Amino acid sequence: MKKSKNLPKPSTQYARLSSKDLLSLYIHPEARTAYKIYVEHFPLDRIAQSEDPAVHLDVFYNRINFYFYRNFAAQLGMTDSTEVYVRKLQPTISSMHLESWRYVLGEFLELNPVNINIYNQLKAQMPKDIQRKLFGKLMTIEDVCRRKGISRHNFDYQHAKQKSVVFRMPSFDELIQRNVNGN
Amino acid sequence: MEIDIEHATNELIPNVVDDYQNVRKYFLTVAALSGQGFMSLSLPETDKDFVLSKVELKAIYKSCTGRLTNDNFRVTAFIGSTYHLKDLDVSNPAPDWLWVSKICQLLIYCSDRKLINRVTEITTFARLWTVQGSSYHHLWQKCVELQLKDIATTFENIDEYKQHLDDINSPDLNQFTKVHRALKFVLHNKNRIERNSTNGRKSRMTRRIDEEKIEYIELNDVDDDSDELISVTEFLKTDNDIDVMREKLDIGLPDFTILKQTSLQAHEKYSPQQMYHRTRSKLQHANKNERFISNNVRVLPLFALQNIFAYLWQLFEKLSSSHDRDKKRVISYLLLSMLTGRSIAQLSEDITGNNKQYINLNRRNNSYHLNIILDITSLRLRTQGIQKVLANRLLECDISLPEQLGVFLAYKGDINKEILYEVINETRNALKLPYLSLARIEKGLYSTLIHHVSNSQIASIITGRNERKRADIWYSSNSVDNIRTIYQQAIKLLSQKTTYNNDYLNLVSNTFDYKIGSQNCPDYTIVSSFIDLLRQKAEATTDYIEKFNAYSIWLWHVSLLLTSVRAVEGVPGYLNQFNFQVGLIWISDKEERATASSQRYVPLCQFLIKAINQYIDFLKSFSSRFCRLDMRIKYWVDEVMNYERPLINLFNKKGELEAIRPALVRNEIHENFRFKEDWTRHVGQRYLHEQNINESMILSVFGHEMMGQESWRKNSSISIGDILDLRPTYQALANKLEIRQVQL
Repeated sequence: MKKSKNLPKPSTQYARLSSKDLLSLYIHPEARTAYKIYVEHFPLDRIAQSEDPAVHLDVFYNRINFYFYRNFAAQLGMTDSTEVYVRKLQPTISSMHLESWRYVLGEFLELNPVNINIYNQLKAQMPKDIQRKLFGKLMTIEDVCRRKGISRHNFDYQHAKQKSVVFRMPSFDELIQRNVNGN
Repeated sequence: MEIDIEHATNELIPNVVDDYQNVRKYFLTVAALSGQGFMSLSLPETDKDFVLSKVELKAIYKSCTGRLTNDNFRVTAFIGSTYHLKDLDVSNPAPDWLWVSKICQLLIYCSDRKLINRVTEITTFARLWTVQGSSYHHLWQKCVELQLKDIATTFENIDEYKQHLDDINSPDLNQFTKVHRALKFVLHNKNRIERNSTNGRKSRMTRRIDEEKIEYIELNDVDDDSDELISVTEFLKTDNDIDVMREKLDIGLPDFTILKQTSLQAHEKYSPQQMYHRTRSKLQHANKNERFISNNVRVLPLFALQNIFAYLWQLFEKLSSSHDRDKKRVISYLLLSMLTGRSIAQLSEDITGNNKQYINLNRRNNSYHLNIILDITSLRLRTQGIQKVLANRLLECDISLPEQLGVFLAYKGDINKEILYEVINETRNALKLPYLSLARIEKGLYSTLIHHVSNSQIASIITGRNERKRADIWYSSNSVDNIRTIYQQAIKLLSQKTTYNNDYLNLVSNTFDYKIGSQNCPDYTIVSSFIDLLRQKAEATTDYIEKFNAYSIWLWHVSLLLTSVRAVEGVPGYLNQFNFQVGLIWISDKEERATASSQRYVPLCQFLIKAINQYIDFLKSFSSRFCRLDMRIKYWVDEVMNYERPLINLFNKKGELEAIRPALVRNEIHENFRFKEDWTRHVGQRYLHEQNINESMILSVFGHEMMGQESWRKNSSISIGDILDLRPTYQALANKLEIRQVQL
């Protein structure tokens, strides 16, 4: 709490980040899980979509680093020549946590067709209290279908179509047996 | 047969075994199953109903864990291991149990005659073979099938089958011989063989200096200035005969090297310094004498060798076996030396000592062979079925020797040195060859092989010459048929001027073409599927750190396979070591690389160039995509691009990027692939040899050419153009292994 008193005051003005400051731009630890799902699972073309010469981010600033917590697509679309503007909103920890998940969920709902893998990741990793805040209860397939405006059949169809094979490295024993038996 | 059965049983299952009374009772019950008919043992009447259940047997087996081959427990372990078989029905025992019973009777005999080694051998093979799914379970079934009521007829069957395995050159022969040997001992009523050698250094009184002792030194004067106590963290133990400096890969320099020394002499002989000098001079010597100079006067020309060979055969046939026995023996040894390439001293020691290391003369079977034993890179893996995925399944092969020579030499006797030199003088005068000497005769086969028939690798394998001096033998892989054919050609060439009949050489065409050589060389199919699995893993993993590691491990294996570089830290190297336009990379992978600038060029094939370029793209996108999770990623990737860090890296457990090294790779894939790290070089060398690549090229690429080959020029004695010529070969290896690029 003491720390928070020393934090700079929030501002609604966008300020441009120097290239040196850019190196201090981090994902906020509270938003990390949501961000990790986003960078690991969302399709590449979606991430590299934006070609804006300027990117606007809301950040949390602690006088050393800039922490962003949403608008991941814009951040990932940044190149060396992108101008980055930040707004030091100084949100609370819990709101950054919530916002990061809200952002990823929103991005997920915009994906067409529905991405089953990401649904499973969200279902598994999104904290229960966040699910309750965003849906009023725990997230279900029905909720996703309703929000996306698709039928349950559509979801099931995609589920069957996108069946992801879980890869497991066979042990040395199994590898030998496979080779001996000729398959 | 008079045997004190109770005493023998007590010896087999001593008191130290848990529950020994029951185990003994059960052992006798099982032994009695096949009755007196087998080897007329008068087994005592036992409680017929005394049977142990599978659960009890398993418990007995478990109690022997960790001491299965211990003298006191091996028989019990075998008895316990029969829990793998079906339940025992004493009134109507299954064939499996009858065979177990016969083994028990054999054990009783062996115990009575104190045949300790047989007891160990029998219990070990029987215990291993009973397990269903073991590599040799089919031999167990074969024995069960071949057994008959009495030992003599059983032995006939077993002998016949052994002969069959021998004929088809089966890799199972070695294992099967164990059953054969066990029965043979009993059938011929053999006793313990005791050899006492009269000469030889071993029998001499051991000097005091030879005694092993451990010295304890107490340290109490710790330097006051030092901040901390010195702690010893790592030892490297080596035996006398292991070259400490050889291919240590990346174990890293130990804090101490303990040389287990048995004598002062051995210590001096095997000190690293000495070893280095010796290896160096050996290699230079070998190269000068034998590899490079074909017009060396020290090498006899072919026609001279042919004349000598013919002359010696003439003498051999002329001399009678009874009157000129000593002279004839000398001549037959000279002939044998020309036929095998081994020195007379080695041969006579082997034959008179009955060591059977090189020569196996067996009058009973009328078989006379040269044994080629190539157990250099031994197999340390114990995984089930491992033999079936090895490229080289044989450790030894044999080559027939002429019968008349074998028959004569089977009567042993020492060589008279004076007569030996008389014969050489006589030959020298008769053939007017002033430069004829014993050494040149002994080298005859080797020079014929390297100059007229084949390459020096096969010549070294056949004759054993320079075998231990040459690094490439450690990696070799040669088909047995090929070795035999080459040998046959050499002998036919040598004997062109003789009348002696060399039909005995004609090969029985083998159904299986097995290979002999390195045991650290997996077969192509398993390599192919392993590399493909690594690719699939790299593609399927989602966690960014795991994905990065999986991709790096794939590229590490692919680049090791396609450049044959040694598996050491940071290979294949920094980005500025690659020349993608030309297709060349300079590498530095030897132990001394830390201090000296030891580099050499190896080719870079098309597939690898593409793989590395894709990996570089991956690194860039990885950096831009994941750097906000950990800003260090950006620095690390920049380091790779600026040649400050090797191309391939791995994330360690702390999430830091480290240059790839075998220990890290081993941690990741230990459960999936257990071959020793340099298996890629073994596969590579096998492939290059199969493609008939010039031997000197292979030596150059593998860094085996000469001691310090790299210190002169990066491309050693071979020109860059020649090295570049190997690119298509490595590309073909990539195609053969069906390696595919990682698609992300």
